[in-house]
Amino acid sequence: MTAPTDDTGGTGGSTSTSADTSAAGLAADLTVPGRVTARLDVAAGSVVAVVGPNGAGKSSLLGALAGTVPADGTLRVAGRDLTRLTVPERRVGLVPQDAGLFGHLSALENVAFGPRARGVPRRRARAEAADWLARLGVGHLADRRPAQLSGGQARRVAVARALVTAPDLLLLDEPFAGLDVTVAAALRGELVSHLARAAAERGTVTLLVTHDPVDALTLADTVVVLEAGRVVQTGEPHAVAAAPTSEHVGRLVGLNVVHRPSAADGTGEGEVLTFPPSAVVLDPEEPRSSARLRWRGTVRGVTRTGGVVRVLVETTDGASLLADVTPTSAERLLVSAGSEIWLSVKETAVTAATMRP
Amino acid sequence: MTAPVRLGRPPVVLLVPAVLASALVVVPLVALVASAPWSTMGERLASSAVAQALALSIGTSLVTVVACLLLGTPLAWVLARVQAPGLAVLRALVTVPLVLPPVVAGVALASAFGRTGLVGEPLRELTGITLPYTTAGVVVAHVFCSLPFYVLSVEAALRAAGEQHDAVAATLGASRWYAFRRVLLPLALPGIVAGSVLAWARSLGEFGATITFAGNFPGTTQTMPSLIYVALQADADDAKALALVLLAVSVAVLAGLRHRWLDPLRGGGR
Repeated sequence: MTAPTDDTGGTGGSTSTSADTSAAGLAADLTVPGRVTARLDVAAGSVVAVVGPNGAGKSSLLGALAGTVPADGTLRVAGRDLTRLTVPERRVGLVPQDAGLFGHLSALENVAFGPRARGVPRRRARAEAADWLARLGVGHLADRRPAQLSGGQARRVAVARALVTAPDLLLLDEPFAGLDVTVAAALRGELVSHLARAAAERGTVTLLVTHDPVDALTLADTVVVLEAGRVVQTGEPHAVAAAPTSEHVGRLVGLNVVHRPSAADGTGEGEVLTFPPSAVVLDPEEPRSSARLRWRGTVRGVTRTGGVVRVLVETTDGASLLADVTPTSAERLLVSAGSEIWLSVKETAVTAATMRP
Repeated sequence: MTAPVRLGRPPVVLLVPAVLASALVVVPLVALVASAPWSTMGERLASSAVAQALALSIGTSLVTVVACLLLGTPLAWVLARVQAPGLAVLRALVTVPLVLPPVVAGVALASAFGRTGLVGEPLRELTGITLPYTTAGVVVAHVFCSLPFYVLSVEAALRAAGEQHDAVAATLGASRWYAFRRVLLPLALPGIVAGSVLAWARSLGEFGATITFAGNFPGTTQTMPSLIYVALQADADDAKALALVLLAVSVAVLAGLRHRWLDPLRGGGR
């Protein structure tokens, strides 16, 4: 259903992957100088999760799509070329990280703001707003000011405010950040159906920036991994989670991710190796086993959860790896922060994927 | 034995100057009230010169505030939101009257709007309008001196209202003018009120620039401060009586605005 394009770093040349998707969905090839370069091509109705560490360029990408951050390149949404359009002309809905409600307006007036700004008569705008507040389960809070709303309630009002304008592209910036875990779970569950409905009714493409792999797995049908201003991986959530190519996503899903250049001099097409912490064997000396994958490193942290001791090791080549060992072997090996140790892993426990440099 | 939660005694080095500062402000005010000629107050204030000057002061200061609202608010928005070369210089220039000695301001105004001034001369030749020694001239002098107080206050409030609101309003389809009216102005209202009060107070007390540029003619350009200055040279008790009136007006306005000032959201929304 989706046809995400891997980013190859180049910004020139608009590769028309499939005329079908770019006609109805989102086709972006954008560069915010010094911040982020990304090419996205997703079908109408897609939900895209953008994940990546802080400073990877997630917010810049969001701003470039909304038009609030100056960017080079092209952007087509729902068959319209938005590249040269002003923000009000783009029909993009934005839900900022802290909901961004207008503090002097009630919840109802916040939601009615969009229709009013587009010239809908007051009475009808209010009726539409009331309808959307009810859909998001906050109809009874219509008269409250934002200061009187909880974090979860404010997010619902902000989502209603964005959806009432029937956007072609909906942008959610960390929609669950700072929310209580149960509140976040409830909101996440509801968003699934609201986004699906918007997708079915209007083909709305949703793009959400998130830190949480659960968001990506439950909400998105495409995951885009940003790192240092570049797209390092795109794919379906489960595929990305099963074989992450970036340390950030690897950590999120609890896997070790190691890059191995194929050529001896470190050039050419390399491999991305992923393996679970449980597959890692610790040794005080260089292991004499047949394992080809081995590293020397310094223990940076030891945490004990249940019957497992998780050891964080920084290897001599700068990678950080996780190893799960039993409490007995942790004792036997005298594992503690600062101690030198050898790690090895059997090739059979490793998933390897080629990657473009 | 439970130890009291205390950070320690307030240090003397801070307390002594604080008391001195308070005294410096409070003592003259008390002295003015105490030494005012209360028994003859009625007859001293009954003169037509006082009524004229008071009316002129209140009138010109209110017109000044309106001029600041109409001209200063757009300027504050431009300074807060538009990115263009030269705007930093413009901001610096706009704040100059803040630190300029009022007499210098008067001389500068005369150079621009005087009968032979840069703008004044063509203005007089084309329309016959002259500003010096007119009530309009008083207002021009007051706006010149008050505008920076207003603009700085409102610019800070607009900046505090945040560009994220601009972005969200734009995605919702609002033009910049619509967003300005419906979002920015209400959110900046506390700053607008504060700026208006500052501008009004500066205008009410304005003396140097006014007397230099507009003169001191009873009925047209003689404001309360000018009248007090004249009275002081003839009869100190007259001056005290007049000063007391000005003090009362100032305190009354400040007290009237206080609750709005401290409750920024009131008067916003609906």
